[in-house]
Amino acid sequence: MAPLLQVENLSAGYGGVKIVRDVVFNLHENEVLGIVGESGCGKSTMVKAIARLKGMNTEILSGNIRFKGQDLSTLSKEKRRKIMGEDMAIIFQNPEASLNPSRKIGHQFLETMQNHRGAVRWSEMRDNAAEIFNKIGLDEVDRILDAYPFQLSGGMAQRVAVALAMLLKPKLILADEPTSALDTTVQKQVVEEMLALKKSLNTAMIVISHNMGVVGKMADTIAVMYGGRIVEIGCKEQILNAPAHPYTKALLSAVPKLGAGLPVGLKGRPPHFSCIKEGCGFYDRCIYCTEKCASYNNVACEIRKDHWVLCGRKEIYA
Amino acid sequence: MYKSIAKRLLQFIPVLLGITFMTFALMAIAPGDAATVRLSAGGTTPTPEMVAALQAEMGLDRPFTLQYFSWLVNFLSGDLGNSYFGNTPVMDKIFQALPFTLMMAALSMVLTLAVSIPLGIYTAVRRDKWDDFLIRGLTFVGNAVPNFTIAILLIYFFALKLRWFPVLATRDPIGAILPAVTLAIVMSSRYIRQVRAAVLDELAKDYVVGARARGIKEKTILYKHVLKNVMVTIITLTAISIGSLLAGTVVVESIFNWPGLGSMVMEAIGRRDYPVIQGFVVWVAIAYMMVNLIADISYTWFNPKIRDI
Repeated sequence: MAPLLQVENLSAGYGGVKIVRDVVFNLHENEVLGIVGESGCGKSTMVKAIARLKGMNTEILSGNIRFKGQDLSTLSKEKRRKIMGEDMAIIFQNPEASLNPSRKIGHQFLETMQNHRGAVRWSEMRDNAAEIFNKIGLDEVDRILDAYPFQLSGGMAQRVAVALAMLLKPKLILADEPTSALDTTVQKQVVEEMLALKKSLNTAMIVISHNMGVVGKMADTIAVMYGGRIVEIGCKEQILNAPAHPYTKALLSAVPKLGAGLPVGLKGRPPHFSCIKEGCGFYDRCIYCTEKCASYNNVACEIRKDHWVLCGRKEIYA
Repeated sequence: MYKSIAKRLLQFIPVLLGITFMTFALMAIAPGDAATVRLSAGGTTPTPEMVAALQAEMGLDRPFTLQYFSWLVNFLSGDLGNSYFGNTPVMDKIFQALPFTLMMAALSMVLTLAVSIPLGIYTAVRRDKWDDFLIRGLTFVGNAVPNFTIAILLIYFFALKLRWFPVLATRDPIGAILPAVTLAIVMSSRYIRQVRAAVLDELAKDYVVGARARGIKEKTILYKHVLKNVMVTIITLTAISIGSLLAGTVVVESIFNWPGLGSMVMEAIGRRDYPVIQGFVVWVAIAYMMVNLIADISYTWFNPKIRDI
């Protein structure tokens, strides 16, 4: 079966600065891809390049994005609008980014349905919303629909935003740090609710997070990004248990574990995007770095089935 | 909510007292007095004795606090006094001019909103395109050119050249059109820019991208999301404008010889006709406070975060 989403050699950025570089991956139906990396690695930009909504200001510099076999860049505005919400939805970091604070939640649910399904009555919307709310354990459907977003707590509003994204049962959800703005207990709840919804609706997801716990719990596949490139991608178990790329190793060793003392951090910062020219983007922070890494352009190498690594020093993971 | 409205209405009292007292005091300080003006009306210079006699007759020789209190007592019993000239009751004078002022205020306000809300939204959506630049350029001109110039140009083209309107139609409603258009051009020039800025502000908010992510049509985003939030700005602008329009527009009224409150009060100030000026000030104060109260009430409707006024 053809993948739901095919990203081919995607380079994208803002205002002429290239952020995302030569990204390649496929996402199948029902699959959850977790994207990790420290801040400023191009994770959000990649997701924005896929959605490419007016106001996100991302431009695609080269490459293709195919969704359900269609090249997204060739579609008309109206066709893209119809895809958004219906087939592809986004969960943002803050509920304020999903919901207009001065309109009742119910109206925002209703208009989402009306903009895709034509004349929809409140009662019909209510049934749909209740079904989703039920799955994520939100009761008091009517009270929530009748409330303004600012009348709900942050966690509650984010769960409502998740429900709104799922309302039309999209095939793909792009979740950009969906739990980062929530406190830890609510984080866990939202992650579990998203997983439950995903299971019952067979939705594929791309989840960005800098929280390894969230990604470990949700993802089937993990992609590690650094300097705008995917430096390692593979199934969750392999990435977490047998990381190959030096950056992945450094990232995993920086995750704090209970009773294991302080985690080992990585010195320095990711490179500024306008400085990246050639060679390995990670070489100045890499403990395995050799002289040739500065100029050698890495080629992704499949070290196991579906486990790709972008590093020129094969001897360290072979 | 009703409690707050009642509270606000009660607050009108001290404000009214303060404002009327201040005007009284300012008039007392101002040079010139009503008796002199009245006596010199015939072209002769009155003797000091004549002035003193008339001042005594008019009660102007009393200390000004006393004058204020006697005015206040009459005001509380619903009597704003009589004009020094012609002895017409001030109330009658105001009610004579008020319909003209109201007509012009309503007409110019409706014109302004009808032009500037659509154009403000349009220029925001067409940001930095040629038509945005064109309209913004025109609003710049409209802001910079004084309203009497606009009035004279309108008279020249539409009354003299095209003959669509009479040059002077003081009592005919058709005479309200050119002055109202003059005011609307000036106000729209400001409004279009403000609405444009507010719409751009609102379009840059996160929830707009969020709505696009749900596949909401741009039209729905604009008219149901953005416009509702921009209404607060529009109401603020409108409230300020209506307030000053209800006080009459001196320059435009005198160019078009429109017998509104502006003309009335200008004449009264020239003649030191204190009762008329006081009556006018009372009206303006009440009008401003009412308009602001209504604006505050309508904020709660457009911005649910504002629960009370």
